[in-house]
Amino acid sequence: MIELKNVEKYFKKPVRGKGVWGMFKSLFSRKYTVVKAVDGVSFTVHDGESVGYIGANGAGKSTTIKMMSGILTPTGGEILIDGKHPYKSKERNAVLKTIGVVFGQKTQLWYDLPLTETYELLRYIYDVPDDEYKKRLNELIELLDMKSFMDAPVRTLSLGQRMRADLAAAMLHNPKTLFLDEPTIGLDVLVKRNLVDAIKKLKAEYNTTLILTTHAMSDIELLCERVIILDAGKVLFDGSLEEVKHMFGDTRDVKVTCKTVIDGESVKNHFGDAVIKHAAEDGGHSVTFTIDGTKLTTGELLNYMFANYEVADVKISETGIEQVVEKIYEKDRAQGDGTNGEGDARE
Amino acid sequence: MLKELKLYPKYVSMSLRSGLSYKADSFIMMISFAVTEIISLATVYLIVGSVPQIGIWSFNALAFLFGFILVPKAIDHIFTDELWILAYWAVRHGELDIYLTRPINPLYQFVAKTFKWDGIGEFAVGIVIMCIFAPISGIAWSFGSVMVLLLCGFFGIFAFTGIKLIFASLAFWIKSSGIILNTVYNLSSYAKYPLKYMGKAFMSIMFYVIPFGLMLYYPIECLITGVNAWWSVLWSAIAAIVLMTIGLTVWTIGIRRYDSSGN
Ligand SMILES: Nc1ncnc2c1ncn2[C@@H]1O[C@H](COP(=O)(O)OP(=O)(O)OP(=O)(O)O)[C@@H](O)[C@H]1O
Ligand SMILES: [Mg+2]
Repeated sequence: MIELKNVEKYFKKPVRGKGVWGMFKSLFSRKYTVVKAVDGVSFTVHDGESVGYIGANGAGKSTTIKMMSGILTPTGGEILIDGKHPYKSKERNAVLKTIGVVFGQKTQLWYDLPLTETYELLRYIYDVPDDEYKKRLNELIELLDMKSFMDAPVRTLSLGQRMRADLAAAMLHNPKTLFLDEPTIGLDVLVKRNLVDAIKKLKAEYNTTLILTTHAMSDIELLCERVIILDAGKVLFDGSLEEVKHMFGDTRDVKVTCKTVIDGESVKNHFGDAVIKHAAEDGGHSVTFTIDGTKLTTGELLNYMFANYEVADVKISETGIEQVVEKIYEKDRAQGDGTNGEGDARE
Repeated sequence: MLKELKLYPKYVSMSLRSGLSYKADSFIMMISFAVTEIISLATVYLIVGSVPQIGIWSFNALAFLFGFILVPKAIDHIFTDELWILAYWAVRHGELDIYLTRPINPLYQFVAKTFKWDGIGEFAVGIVIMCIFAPISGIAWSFGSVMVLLLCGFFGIFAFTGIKLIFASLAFWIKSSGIILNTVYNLSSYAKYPLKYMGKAFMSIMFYVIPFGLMLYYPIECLITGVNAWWSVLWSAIAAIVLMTIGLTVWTIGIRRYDSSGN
């Protein structure tokens, strides 16, 4: 079980003066601005849960993950992982043995050596027994489809391969909890989909508790039952994926392009209020339908279009986390509690 | 501790093989370290060689001191070179993250990952110079004086490691402490000269503040004069313990302030 109790992390940034003299002065001055990266966050994650931890750029997601994984010490509040603090020197080793971490932006693999070398090292560091290590490594190679690049130096791997390799590295010691900070960053749609599927399989196989940050709503939809939305260091929403969908309305945009002119109005009439709106472009050759996902699937709409028009192109836009957050804001404001979106003392 | 020791050969082997593609680089570095030291000794000869004796110090004795200092310096260089990266780069760029998420001492992981075998060049030059000048240095050789030399050489390693650890860890407060570390580290080169005659203030600094003089110069002075040699071993040992304690403390307090990086 992971418990965060009113956790805060403030970063001090020295105020830099202008010019050479200003820089010189700032060496001796104690002036700084405080960035409240995480500002009183509390939540509890139970064993086996999978939580999407989302929010706009700079919301404080990575900072929270870093505090939970022993990298940063909180400025205030308390973090307990199975009753122990990951940032206290006496307790950290016990906690760290039970967690695995992947940062999409950074790798823990040994750059010039084949993967197996890093894995061997990790095996020693985490005291994984020999037979267990072999069994697990084989399972992971199979699951993450890594056979083809096990012996290549890490620097020659593609981003997608490296990400899978990092995922395996974090799973080798059978951690109870896995923290993933933007594991799909920079991957193309297909590779991303494969990686998400692999994470899903890993989770099903080992019943790992999963905490994941991402900017792609689709990752969350595929992997998480619960969503925590962070904004300017504060928890804006904590609830089930269903609730989120319900809150911002499960709408999606489907853009259809045809050789002939599309009669948007007749499509709307056919589906009734399942099609919320339609916007024509390009003299009616392209129409973007905004549909209500609870009443109509993208597939149903497309089937209808294929049956009635000569469809040339289809574009389905993914809903971004930012849009979700925006929607929730709008709701907040509409309810008139007067919160504004600005965090205090931010850059 | 046991785990760390058992893991060390693994780290060394990984470090050696991972540097393989840059082997030529390291080889050139090794030669250049060695050549630099030889040139530097030649410079000492040009300066001091014309004067027959500076107090108790003959050129031959100075040359022996020169060789002696190279040995602990080289050993420290081989094992803890990564501390320079801590001072200049790693804290500022948030590169300690991966060591902090693993259940084993992060300082150990960080330092163990680089094994700088190119330091062997300096080490060899040091040993050769000592062998050449030992018989003519004016030191009365006995079992005792060899022991003093070995022990002080061993503690001398921690003069370098301790100073590096202390000043590199300052980076946790000031982000980049490389320039400060470099300045302090370079004080070690003054231990090669007859400190005894270099002014009280400077000598005090080199003995009691940044104890390169106490740990590297003083033992050889004692061996030459033949007095206090065992005292110098004791002082070296105490200084080594003090430096390492301060260094580990500064690191331990500092790592709690570690900020990682924003991206
Ligand atoms: N090491 C640091 N030093 C100073 N400020 C920092 C540091 N790390 C993060 N911050 C600041 O804290 C805030 C939160 O950053 P964080 O990296 O946690 O955001 P995030 O939610 O992960 O954003 P992103 O989606 O862009 O990854 C930002 O305003 C950032 O500038
Ligand atoms: Mg982030």
